[in-house]
Amino acid sequence: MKMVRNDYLRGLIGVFSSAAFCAYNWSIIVFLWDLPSFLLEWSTLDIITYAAYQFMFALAGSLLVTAFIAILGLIFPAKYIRNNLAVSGTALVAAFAVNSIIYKERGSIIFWLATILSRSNLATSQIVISTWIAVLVILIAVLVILPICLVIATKSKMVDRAINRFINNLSVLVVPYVILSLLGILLIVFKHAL
Amino acid sequence: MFYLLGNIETQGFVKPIKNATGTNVIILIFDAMSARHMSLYGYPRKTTPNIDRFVKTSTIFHQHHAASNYTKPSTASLLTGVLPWSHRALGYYSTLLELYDHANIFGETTSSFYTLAYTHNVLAMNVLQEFAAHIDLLKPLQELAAYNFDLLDDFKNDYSMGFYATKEWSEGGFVGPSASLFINPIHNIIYTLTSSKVLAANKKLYPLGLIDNGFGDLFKLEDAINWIAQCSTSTPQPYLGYFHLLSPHEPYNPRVDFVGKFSGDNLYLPEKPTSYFSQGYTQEQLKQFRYLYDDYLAYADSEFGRLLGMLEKNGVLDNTYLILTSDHGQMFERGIHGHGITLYEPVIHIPLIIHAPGQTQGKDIYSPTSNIDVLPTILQLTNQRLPSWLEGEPLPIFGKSDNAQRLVFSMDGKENSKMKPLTKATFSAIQWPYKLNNYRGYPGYDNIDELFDLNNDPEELNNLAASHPTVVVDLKNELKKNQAIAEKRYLGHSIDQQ
Repeated sequence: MKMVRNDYLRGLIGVFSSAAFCAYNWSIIVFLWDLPSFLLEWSTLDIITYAAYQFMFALAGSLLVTAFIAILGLIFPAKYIRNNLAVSGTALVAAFAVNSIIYKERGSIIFWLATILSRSNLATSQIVISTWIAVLVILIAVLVILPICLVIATKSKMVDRAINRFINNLSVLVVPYVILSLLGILLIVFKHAL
Repeated sequence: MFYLLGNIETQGFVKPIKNATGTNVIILIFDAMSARHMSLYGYPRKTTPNIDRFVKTSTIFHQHHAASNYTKPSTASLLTGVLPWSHRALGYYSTLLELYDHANIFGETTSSFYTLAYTHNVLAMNVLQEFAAHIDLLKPLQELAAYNFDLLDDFKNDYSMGFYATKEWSEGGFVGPSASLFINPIHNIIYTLTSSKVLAANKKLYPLGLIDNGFGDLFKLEDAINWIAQCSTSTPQPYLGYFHLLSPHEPYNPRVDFVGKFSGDNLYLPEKPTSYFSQGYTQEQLKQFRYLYDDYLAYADSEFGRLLGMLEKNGVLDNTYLILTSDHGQMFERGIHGHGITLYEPVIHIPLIIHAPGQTQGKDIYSPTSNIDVLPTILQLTNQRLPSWLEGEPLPIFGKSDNAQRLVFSMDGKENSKMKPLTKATFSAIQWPYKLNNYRGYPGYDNIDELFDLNNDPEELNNLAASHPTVVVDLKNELKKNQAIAEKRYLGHSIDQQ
């Protein structure tokens, strides 16, 4: 029982690492994209404060996704998620990340689909439809993509080992990100207290 | 100096008021209201019948211009009395130079008025937040929202950075994608599904949607108008109120009785050459946008009329200056829809109408004026000294004589460093009847001049730069001289501290 619980915790850490890896790197990419604009306007402290907020949100996002997958693991039969949490969780994280990227502003695939389906010029209609498409994609990720990934992982020990090795490496990589987030939270609390 | 009888208590402490005139001031901004679309300024469509009525007992400034072409720098200019090259709130992420946190309309009138402010517009709120120390009542944006969903309140002690961070992660950036991979879609899903219920509930009266500030807040114009009317009698007097309402800024969502008001009227407007800054809109697309905007403008005018009725009924106008204006206009020509891009007249020619207490006759001022003149005018009206850092002047009739040869400047410099001289910007200099547009630093469009005779060519169709080189040189020299003064000032000099 203790060993099962340890495996489960280890799996959750793996899921968190995958989520954090995606969330933090995305935040860093967007931050670097915006940085030239920031440099025109803000002081160094302002930019550091902004980065602190973004890291805080990346941490929050990673924890939310991990919690969501943990809940899915409790809802679905054990063989789908709980038994191989790190691999199944990582597959779900990847699916959510892709969904998130394509469910962004106008110009994304989802919004393009919504524009066609809404048959309306009203932005409101398009946005509502694109939201439902995004929800549908999440359901497809959970009900279709996940089982496919699990079948591949369980059928191939090599794939399973590679994924687990990758996740273990991620667990080390995200430690500095988490530390920076915690420092960022301290900075934000301090600024609000002033 | 006279002290009013009694003092005014605000927030638990007594605030002495030194206001010899005892009159109130209401500054009412309708965002993106272009003078070129208002019937009182000669637009063929009857878009502003209520404002037309208002000017019969007010002073109308026919050549009033915004200091810039979008909300942040223009609002900052109105509230500080200096041009964007001085206050440096040039870009979407900008804050003003720190000295303007106190050198602004609220800081300068804090002992003359009880000050209050409200806006739908988030960029205007950014500016107001910088002045918050001097505003007695800065009403949170969401308190008059029909729907609001964001975490901004949680970061209000760090408004500037907290605002940009939460808007970047929840809404997406001003230009690029949102910074949060997972929270953004969760936020968008929850926002869309919950706000759609509010929109559905209001669909009968607002079939195209509610006022949307693009940052997760939905409004009904009526709510703000009702609150302003209520404030006008319940606020400790004398007060200075700054109310910045989003209509008729896009999205164009008028009330049902204004939807389609002007569609199909086949208004003819001259087709203009495509601009270097063109967004690729066709004449037909711009025509359709124009219908929607004019409908929305008429709705905003209607609500202004309702407010005016309430103010008249309550006797507020007997001891209040009512200043109606805008922060910038809106453009539907040269391949461009909107604002924030060029400095053509539809974008910077804005209304300014001032009703003085008890005024019964209309007056017309034709000399050029600027929105940086509002602050010095209010200081003049309350018998206050004009600080030396002001670039604006008291408006004609309200303190200064009419000057037809006055120089008025506007500029757009979003992509410049706050701390360095301007290198990529658009400038406009108006000295009646000539207007110079000067473009600097744009790839393939550097040091380009356009000169128009606004008296004979109000539509800015004929570029006279080649045939009037002396005028171009004179206006450019004035531009550069004033820009140099401002840039030297912010690099080293301190403002008048008295």
